[in-house]
Amino acid sequence: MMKKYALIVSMIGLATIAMTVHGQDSIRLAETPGVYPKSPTPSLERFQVSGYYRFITNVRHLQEGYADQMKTPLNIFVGDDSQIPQLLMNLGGSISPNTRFYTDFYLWTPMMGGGMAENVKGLNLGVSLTGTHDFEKGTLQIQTGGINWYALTPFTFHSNPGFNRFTVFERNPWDPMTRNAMDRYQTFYQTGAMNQDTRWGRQAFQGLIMDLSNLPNGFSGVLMYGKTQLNGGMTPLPNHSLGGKIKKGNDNRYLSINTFNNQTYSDSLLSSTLGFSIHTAEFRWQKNGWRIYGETGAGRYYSNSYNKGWGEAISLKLDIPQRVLRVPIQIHYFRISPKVINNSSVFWNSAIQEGNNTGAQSEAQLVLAPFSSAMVPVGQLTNNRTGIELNSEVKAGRFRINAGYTIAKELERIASQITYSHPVNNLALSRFWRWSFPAGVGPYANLTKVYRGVYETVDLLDVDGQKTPLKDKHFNTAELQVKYKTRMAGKELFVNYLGTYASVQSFASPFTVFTEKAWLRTYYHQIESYLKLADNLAWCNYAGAERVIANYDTRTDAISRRPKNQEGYAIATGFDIEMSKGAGLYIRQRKMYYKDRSFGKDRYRGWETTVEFKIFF
Amino acid sequence: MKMKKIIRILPLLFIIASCKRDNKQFEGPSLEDLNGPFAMVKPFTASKTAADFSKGETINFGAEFTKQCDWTITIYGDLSKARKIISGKSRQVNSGNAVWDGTTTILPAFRTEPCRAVLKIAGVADSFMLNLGVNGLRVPQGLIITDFESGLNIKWNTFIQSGANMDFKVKTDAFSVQGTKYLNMAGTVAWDWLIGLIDFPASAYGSPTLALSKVPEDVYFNCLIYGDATPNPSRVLFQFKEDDNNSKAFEGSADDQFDKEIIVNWQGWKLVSFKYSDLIHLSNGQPAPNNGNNRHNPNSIVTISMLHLANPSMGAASTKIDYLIFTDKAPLQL
Amino acid sequence: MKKQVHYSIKILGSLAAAIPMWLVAQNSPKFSMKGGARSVLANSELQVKDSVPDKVTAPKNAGGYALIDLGFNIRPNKNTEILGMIRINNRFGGFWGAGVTFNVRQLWLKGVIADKVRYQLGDINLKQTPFTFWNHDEDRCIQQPAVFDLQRDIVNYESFYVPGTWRQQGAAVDFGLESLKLKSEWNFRGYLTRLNATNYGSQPERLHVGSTANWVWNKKATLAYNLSRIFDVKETAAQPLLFQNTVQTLSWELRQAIGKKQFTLGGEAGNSSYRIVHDTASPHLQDFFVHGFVKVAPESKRWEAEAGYINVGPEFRSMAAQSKRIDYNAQPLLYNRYTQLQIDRPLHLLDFIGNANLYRTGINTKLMVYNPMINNVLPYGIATFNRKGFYAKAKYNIVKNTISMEAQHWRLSEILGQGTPELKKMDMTRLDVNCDAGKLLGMKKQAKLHVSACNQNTRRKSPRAYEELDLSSLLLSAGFELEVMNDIDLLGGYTALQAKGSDLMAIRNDYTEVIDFAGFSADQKHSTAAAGFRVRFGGKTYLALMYQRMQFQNKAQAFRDYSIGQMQAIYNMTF
Repeated sequence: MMKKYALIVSMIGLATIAMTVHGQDSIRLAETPGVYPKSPTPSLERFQVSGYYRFITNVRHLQEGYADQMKTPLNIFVGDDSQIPQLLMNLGGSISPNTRFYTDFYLWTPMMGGGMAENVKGLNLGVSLTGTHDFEKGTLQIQTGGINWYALTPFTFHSNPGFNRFTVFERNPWDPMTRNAMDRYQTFYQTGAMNQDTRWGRQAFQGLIMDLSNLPNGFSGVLMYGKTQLNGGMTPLPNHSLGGKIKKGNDNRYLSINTFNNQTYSDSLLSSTLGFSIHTAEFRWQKNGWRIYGETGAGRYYSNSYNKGWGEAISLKLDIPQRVLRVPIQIHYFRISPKVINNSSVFWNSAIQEGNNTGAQSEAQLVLAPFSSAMVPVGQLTNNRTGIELNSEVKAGRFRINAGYTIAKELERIASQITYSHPVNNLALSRFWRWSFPAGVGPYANLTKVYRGVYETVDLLDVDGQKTPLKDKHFNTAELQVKYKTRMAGKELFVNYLGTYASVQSFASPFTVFTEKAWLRTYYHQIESYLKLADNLAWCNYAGAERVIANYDTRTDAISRRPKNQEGYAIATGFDIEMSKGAGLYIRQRKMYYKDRSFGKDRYRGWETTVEFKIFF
Repeated sequence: MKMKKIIRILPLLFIIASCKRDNKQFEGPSLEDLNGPFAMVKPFTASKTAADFSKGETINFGAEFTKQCDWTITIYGDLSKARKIISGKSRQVNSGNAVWDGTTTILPAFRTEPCRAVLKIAGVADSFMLNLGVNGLRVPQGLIITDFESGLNIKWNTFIQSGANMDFKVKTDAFSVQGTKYLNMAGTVAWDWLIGLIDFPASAYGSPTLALSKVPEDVYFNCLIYGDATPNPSRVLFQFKEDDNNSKAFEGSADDQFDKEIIVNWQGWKLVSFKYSDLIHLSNGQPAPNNGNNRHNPNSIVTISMLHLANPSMGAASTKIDYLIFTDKAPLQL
Repeated sequence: MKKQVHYSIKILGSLAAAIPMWLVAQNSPKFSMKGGARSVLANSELQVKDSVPDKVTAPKNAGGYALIDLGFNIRPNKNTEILGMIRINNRFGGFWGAGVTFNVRQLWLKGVIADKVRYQLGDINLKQTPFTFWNHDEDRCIQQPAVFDLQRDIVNYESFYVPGTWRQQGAAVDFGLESLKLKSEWNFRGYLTRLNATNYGSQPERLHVGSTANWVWNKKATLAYNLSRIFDVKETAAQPLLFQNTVQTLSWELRQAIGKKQFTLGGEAGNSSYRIVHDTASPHLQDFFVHGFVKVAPESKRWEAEAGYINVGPEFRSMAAQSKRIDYNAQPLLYNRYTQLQIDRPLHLLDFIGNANLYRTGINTKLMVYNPMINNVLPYGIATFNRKGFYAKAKYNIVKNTISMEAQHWRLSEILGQGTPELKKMDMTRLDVNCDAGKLLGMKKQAKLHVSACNQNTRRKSPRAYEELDLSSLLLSAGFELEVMNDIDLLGGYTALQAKGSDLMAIRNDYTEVIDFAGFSADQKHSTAAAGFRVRFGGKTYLALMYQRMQFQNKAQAFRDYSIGQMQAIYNMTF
């Protein structure tokens, strides 16, 4: 070994023996060093970070309430149990103008005293990649990866946008900042709509979405493959949703053929499958203010224990311009068979129980929508129902009037229950149960929590031995929203009124039934006002009252022997303070009262304070 | 220019030339050994036809094969049915890998008796046999507590329950495993776990404490226990009682006691051995703290108690025991 | 009178001469982002030939993920660069944050000291020579068509494979000296990496140190000394055994133009030492190797021919060069068990192409097993021990470089027999043909064709029948890329492995000594056909939708035959 070393050294010496140096030499960096790669790798051209920080805390005190809640009458909660995090960042970058990636990333500190150990990080929508490719005959757009909010057609993949008849006193977690405190209310008054975020009217989808547009002859198409939040999960079973459409035409006139299909396996050998399919044709034609829009098709639900075949799904809308009847009117006819189900569409499922099956061992729900025969707002569709809706929106001076009316009937007698909501204290009531979405809670186990709300269930008594109703259900719902803008002490003032008058009964009626002949009557009145105190300060007020009255053909209380007879009130005030550009402080103080005169335990009374601090960047 | 090239190449040639590889024929085991045909090169032999193991004699076996193979020599005791098994993998059987020193692999132990040694090779149908004899038995080194050849020692303390069908006796019959006698422990006791017990005080062996090493890792306790196929498996509990405070007696409140509970759930004779340092104190079968110096001191043992236990609700229990012996640095090789 | 040896170096102080090319220019931003993003969705279906119905294995399987690698590239000054990269991985089907993992993918620092010495710390890619420290691609005997390369590219990215290099953790430095008058430059590179940290018990601290010192004369001659040493550090564990593997080599290259042709004479020679100190059972394995070649190519580079000789001793051990990429003991993630008996699914050729979890990212100081069906001739690359023989390579480009062909032929044998004095003989012949049909036919759109084949044969003749063996394997691949619309390609390909025969595989102990043999016989065919579309979004971003079907046939155990069909959507971005 030594001999070898000596030879090497001597060889190097021999190699240099005749060298002489003249002039200047240098130490410089080697051309081919040992570390790799040699050349710098390319870097991202555009990278953006945006998002918001939102601190919210809610304190509630009940003088009276349900047994579970009265164990701790004073409830202090830091955070948002709507599952919206404190710090949400949207990170995104473009490699080229036509490709982009983005992800969100959230941080949340529950502030429960546990320090770093309790802090949470994660993704909300996840990692998404997009790309656009223009080729000779069209454009291809790709969305893939994490959750993308997407809409196909109302019956296939969509969420109900509604008619913008809602109150805006309670802020949503996703509500954006406005330059001035009153801009939000001005926009609501002016356009009838709020600035909604990307998810408005859309559903969450994870997988691959390929969108072809600008094809020859006005064609376009979409192909979707992946999972919805209702058949999500990381099981290796090939549960999937597959949908798409082929469309010809432009935004004013088009015809499209659409489909959406879901297949889920409940065992690893794939012998037990369930799912649904819906195929529709959607069309739109408009000229001189007249507009016909519709979607018709067929759908079915299948499983090892259920296969009743196909059913119809029809939605036809006719918009009549103002010049014809002095007010613009939309007439909407709909008919959705009880055999049709699609929980990713605009209509709820109230006919096929297993389509909304809950988890095996929890009282939590899979689908956050009322089952049974729901008393729904105007514009909200459910299956097993047919009816006509009328909607109109007019301006009369400073008034903006938005009214709607629905007459509907169930197609088959399936559910022996009716569900309805409590809009006056809806959000406060939903906070009685944090984080999860339990069903069958409350003193009489008939409340179910959904996302930022609660609905209640009442049982019908005129049913047969199998609990099938003996009579058809007929629904009438009238909604009236009046918005008014004026000035008080030289300051802008907006006043909004929203009223809903609905009934469900066993006979057809052209109008809402206001007598005991209806199984259930619901009356909701909500009025709110927004007064500008300064550019960055708005004073907000709210008052609401609700009455829910059932008749003796519904379940009665065992003690009072009377049916539901509920009243609820709320009075609330608050401030919107724009602290600086992109930073806002929102305070709400609510006093609430609710009582069922027949069901003695169903009552609560108290107050709730919410403070929200939000900064966008 | 050319010279420079030559100068550069020459040292490399030196390096290469100076490197040499070992002159091996091939690497790894010979394939011929592994796969070639089998034949005996030298026959199966034994260095003597009989041995007196009590004098330290041994019998060396020999044989040679054409290839490496797995072989086994089994020595059968014609009278005792004892067996000794010696095995290996090689081309040769010799004094380096096949020596019989009188020990037993499968009980019962050998006696002075005629024996047969049989050589078998894996994958070969033939076997090869030699006749041998045992003229004297190997005497294991260690402190024998008892082999029951002299029956029950009057210096022991014996307690036998007054149950049904009690049979707590030293016997001589076909069940004998070492020597000619063993202790039978059987009976039905419906009210208590204890069937019977024997205390072996150190004084019965001529000293206040047992003459054992003070290094507990070096001390092994061994015994032969017979398992019976009864629905009620016996438990043999050994209690080693030390005198930590030098009071000349075991005091439960001041001295250590280390225990071993053996659940006899096998069929036939079995050699049970355990290291003294592995023992813990038990109370009703559960680990419990000691009250002495909490150190294993085998040289301080004043009494060994042997208890035969069985579940009182499960009927009759039966076991046999023989050859209780302490050995040094290794378990007993019978 | 000429001066004798007085060699001196004057150091230029000019910064402009010393700024390295690869560091970012002075006016680059201090902070930028690098990395990549990828989304994969896959649906698979398994079919088994077993006559016993399989009531255990799920016949269909779906999965996927979307991930982003975000690298934060920070340049605090013009001489320093830092990269920290995190990975956010979101499993398919995980809604609202479920199935999300965060990892640190890499972290390194590089810079220049005094404008003279370049260094790098942290996660670094390193290589030396094929016999000292090298990442061989020996099991990818042939090129694969583009439709399979999509998966291979993902594997390379996940495993940090830059050709020839291994991803290590440690430090490296390099610098050079130049003498214009002497027309010489001397380069020095050194590295120190950590292979194993001690567990303060049985496992000592294991380091890998190496260096290369080379001398380049007039760009015509190169001579280098290479050292690679893996060793355990004394007194870092509660046991005295110390592993040591040292390899020293000399490598050289002489280049001379004769007429219009460039001749290159090169090679490498060296020795190795392998042992475990203080282990009385450990042998001390020492051996040497020689590799010499001559290469000729015209000035136009239209063709190239090479002929060479290797002689690598049976006890030559160079763990940094003999580590394999593929771990043949690893289990695939997809259908790792199948049939009613839930036996391990035998790996298929496609698993080796596209299954990143079978690949290692660092060197292994234990000799790894190999699959004789894939590569029985040079399973550890050119550094495979116990090989001697000749090889020839040729490259040829014709028709204005639209068709390129590469061919190799290796004729090798063992140096020392295994279990017998008879030696195994091995032949390997490889051919790769690539045709740019678009250019050849004057098309406006791209069209490429590809064909590759590799045939291997291992045989041993002996008067004793149980020593005879004969194992052959043939790897084939063919494929095309056809641009059907702007930046939209139709891809198709087929790859197959057919192996038949038997061999005796050495079973080695922990010291790599042969202690036994295990028979290996094969009569298998692995084939895969794939087709799909790729949309190129520019740069390294593409969307690929493809379907592939792999078939596994084992004629000796037909009940284990299976086929897997897989539909994949891959959207890949690199930035």
